[in-house]
Amino acid sequence: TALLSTTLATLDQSKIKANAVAVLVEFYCDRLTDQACVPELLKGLLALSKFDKFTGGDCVKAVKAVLALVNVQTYQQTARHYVFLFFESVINRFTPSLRSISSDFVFGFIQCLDGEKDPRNLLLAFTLIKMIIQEFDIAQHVEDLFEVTFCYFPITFRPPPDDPYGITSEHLKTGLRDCLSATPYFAKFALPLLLEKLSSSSGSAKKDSMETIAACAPVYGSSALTPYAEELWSGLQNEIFHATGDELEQVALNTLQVITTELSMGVSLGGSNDPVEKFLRPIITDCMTQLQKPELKLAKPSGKILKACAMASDPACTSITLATIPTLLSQYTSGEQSTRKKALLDVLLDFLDASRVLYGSVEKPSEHDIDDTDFVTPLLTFKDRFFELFTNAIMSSNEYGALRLAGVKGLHGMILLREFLSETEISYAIQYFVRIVLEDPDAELQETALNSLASLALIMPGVVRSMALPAFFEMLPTSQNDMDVDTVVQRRSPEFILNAVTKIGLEPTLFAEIVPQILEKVDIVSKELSSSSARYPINLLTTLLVLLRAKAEKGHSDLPQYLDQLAPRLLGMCVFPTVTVDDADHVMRNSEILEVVAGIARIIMIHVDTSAQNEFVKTIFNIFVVGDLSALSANAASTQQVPFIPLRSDARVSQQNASVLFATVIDGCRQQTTLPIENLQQFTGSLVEVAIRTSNTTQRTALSKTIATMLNKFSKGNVLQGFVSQTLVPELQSRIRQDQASFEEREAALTMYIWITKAMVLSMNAIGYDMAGELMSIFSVPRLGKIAADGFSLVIGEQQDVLTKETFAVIRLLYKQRFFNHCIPVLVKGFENSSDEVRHNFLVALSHVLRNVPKQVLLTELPPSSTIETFQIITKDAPGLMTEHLSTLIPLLLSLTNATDPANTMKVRITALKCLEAQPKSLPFTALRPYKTRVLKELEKALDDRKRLVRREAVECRSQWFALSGSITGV
Amino acid sequence: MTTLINQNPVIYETATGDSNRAWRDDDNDNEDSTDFIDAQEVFDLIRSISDPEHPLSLEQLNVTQRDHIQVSDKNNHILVEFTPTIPHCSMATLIGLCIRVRLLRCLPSRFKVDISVRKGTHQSENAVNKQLNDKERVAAALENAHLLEVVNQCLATATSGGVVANIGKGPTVET
Repeated sequence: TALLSTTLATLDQSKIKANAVAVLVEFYCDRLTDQACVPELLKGLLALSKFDKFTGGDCVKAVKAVLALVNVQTYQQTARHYVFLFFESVINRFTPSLRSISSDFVFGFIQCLDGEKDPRNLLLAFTLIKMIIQEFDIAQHVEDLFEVTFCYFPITFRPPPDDPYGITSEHLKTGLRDCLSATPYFAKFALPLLLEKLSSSSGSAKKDSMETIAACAPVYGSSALTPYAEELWSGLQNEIFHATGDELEQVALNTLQVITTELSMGVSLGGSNDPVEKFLRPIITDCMTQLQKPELKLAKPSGKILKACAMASDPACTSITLATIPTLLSQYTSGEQSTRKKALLDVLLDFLDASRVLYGSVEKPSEHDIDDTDFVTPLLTFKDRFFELFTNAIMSSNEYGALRLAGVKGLHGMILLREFLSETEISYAIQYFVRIVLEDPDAELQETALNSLASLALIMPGVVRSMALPAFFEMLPTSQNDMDVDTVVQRRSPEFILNAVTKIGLEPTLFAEIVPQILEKVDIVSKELSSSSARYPINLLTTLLVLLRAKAEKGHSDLPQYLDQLAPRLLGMCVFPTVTVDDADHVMRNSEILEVVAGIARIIMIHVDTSAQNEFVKTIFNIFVVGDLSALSANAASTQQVPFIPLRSDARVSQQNASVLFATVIDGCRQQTTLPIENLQQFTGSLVEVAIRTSNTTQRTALSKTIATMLNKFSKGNVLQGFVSQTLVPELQSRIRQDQASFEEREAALTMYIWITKAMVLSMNAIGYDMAGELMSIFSVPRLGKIAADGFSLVIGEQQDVLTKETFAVIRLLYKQRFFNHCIPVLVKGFENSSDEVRHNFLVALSHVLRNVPKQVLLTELPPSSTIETFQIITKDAPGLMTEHLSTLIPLLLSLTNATDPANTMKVRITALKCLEAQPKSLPFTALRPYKTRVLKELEKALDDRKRLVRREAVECRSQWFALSGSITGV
Repeated sequence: MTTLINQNPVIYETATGDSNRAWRDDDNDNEDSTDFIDAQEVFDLIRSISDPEHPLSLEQLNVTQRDHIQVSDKNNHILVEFTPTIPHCSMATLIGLCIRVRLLRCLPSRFKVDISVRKGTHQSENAVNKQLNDKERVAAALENAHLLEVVNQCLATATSGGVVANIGKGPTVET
């Protein structure tokens, strides 16, 4: 039989004819009397039931046979499992046929299930029960079916630690809950029992009961719930008032809300007898009793209860509001203690929250129809009282900050309610907020008010713009006098106000308002200030930068327009002071300001499309290369008196510094953007020349960056590549090596060389690796060697402001891995073969590479044992460097001691252990301390290595780590 | 001035250098062959522990000997017997503790290690044996910071190869 069943299960079913199936079914059903074979027979029936040719008639026959002949619970788990699978299969396919024997089937099924214990089967059975409830007429068997189901409640199943079936008690719980909530017929049986379980002592049973009640309530309907309403309340009340944990409390509140919602549905349907009123009455009474003493512990949960109920439905909310608010309000007025007032306000806040959820907020109307004018919060009646209350709370000169805080929150909550406050009231509220931000000494209060403003700015920018912004800008100083110490003391510092502006200024219309305001301030103050007192203009401009960055992060679409509106204006502000006759000191020439402006230009640049970039780049070239300043929006005071030649080495220093701006714009170019130059080679060549000749490091760096970006992005054509490899690089190399040239010039050439290397390495251009090799050969050149070694940090490290992904640089995937693989062996070899002084340079370069390589690379690129040996040497020679990498290295080394990985040869394991052993000897205790336990634990495995030599090393290593302790004893 | 329990211990010749591995056939070129843990290996682990009293190793004092160690790698069982220098030596428990700690740290945890005084070499041998093989007592002893420090000092000279590192200045125990 086993053979036949297995054959059937695996057989291609098209080969079996209809009559063959019938015969087989007949055969199997008859054989079911043979107890020993039953498991196999069931398997066969299961297979048969999946056949196309298996008919409804066969199904009925088979099911009857199984129910009649198989005493399911006498068999072992697998057999029982087949029975349930069989049922599942037939219910899925033959529901109509089974309906004819519905009553028998349901009854038989109940008997099959009775006494089942295995979680796997139960899980299946629960889904079956649900299907049966939905598909069949269970009226006659409700009680039996309920009993057989409910006996599993509450589920106490705890899966074995390494359960291969992955069944958790959570699965079973939801399965069971689905069954219980599948039919309203269960209501009269389930509710009393669930209530009983609610009073049990086990936390999880309570939680399960409540969740089940919540799931069942909508199905059972209000008529079923009504009789138990009072008991439900008393049970849940217990849970909330004496909650053992937040989670339980939350569950109880949810349940309460669901019940209230359900009962309210009854109201709209039935009308006459009002179950929700009845349910709510004791709740309200109880809560109000608690709220008589609002400062006590139970007041808060009471508020939460009222909130949960009020959130449930419109009638519930209305009745609760009408019943409680007046009392609360009068209590507030008569109350003296501010703590008590505060507690009352908290309850009112709960109401505002509930109202918002139920009736919709300003930004997002609720699911209910907005046109339904009747559907407004009952709180509207009390609006004026509320407003007055919260305002008073804010204004109270009381020391007790929390009360005022509640006031701010209350106003905020009211503003958020849909169709609640009028325009005027909102603007009053906002004025209060502004005043708090600007004048109140309490930091927490300030912050809350500011956050309210920030969130309101997104929803109703108009009001915030007209009410808040002018007030803020008025507070900003406009002249040197304003910034004198004695006035600043009374006001908020400009930094503080600008910070507030940053918080609220994200919204596009607000930002549009802020930009000209700030520019105007910069214009005014820059007339007076010298470049040494640039703090304030820097702050102003940084505000813009921060806002732009935040906007870019949020993906605002209004960024590009500022390329025209903001960039030329700012560039002009920076450029014009450099072209006056006297070359006078000016605040806009401050290098920090230049950087901020560059940052602004950059962030706008990278967010505009190619055609806009083309235009802008053309303008920029006109300004910086040709020296035509007409494109910069000039104001009356700024006139050009001397030529603007920032890209030449003989320009004035102030103009040279302005080349930073040029560099950022070029850096922000997309790869598709065309530079308006005919001969890129010549242009690059001339820039290189300038960069080497200039004595101004700012200009040199700016130019180096420019060249690096240009080569990185626009060197796709063979022309430029050939130029780089045949002309540029050899020329630079010979310049670096020119002994008779001045050190500065060689250094400049080297710097340029490093930048170009970076550009090439990023795009994985083969020449980049040759250049890196050349850099290593420079290590031995005195003085320059150190610069070259440090250059590795630039080559492989990520720059913040240049050649980044955001600025469209060509950055190949895995370029770091490749560079790592290419360089590490060479560096290690160089390290081993060089004299002490040069060695240091290798070490520095090595450390830069290691530091910048992502961890995964270190872990995946399995280093050969020679590399580990290097680590060992480094541990001794440069403990500082090693300490930085411990978090990566220790796990790596430990994984290398694992003997089960065939890649870890004996030698690798021994070297890794030696390397680990070296650590406690040379590295500081504080650095190793966090790893001690882990290392000792992992090394235990190495103690049982199959090779004796490895074990011996493990013993030594482990002893070292055992000896590791804070006090270094003389051992 | 502290008085030593055993003023003049007999010092024995030790096998110098590495332990004689010749009689073993470790195949160090073959990655996959398994070297079983044997008595020699265990002996190597403990021979170089210093005596708490004298700047000498346990091997030099003939406290431990390879022939007094039985190892069954297959059954995960090890029996170490040691011989106190004199029958009334009050340091016997401490020496045993040192051996115990050393093996705890250096052997895979799958082994059950029994440590006992060699029959008839100590007057209160039962008490000592009981103490050394009682997990709780060993753990309790190691929670004593002073005792642990002494143990660590004794173990500081221990090497895995069995070579006595350099017992120049031995640890001293205040009695």
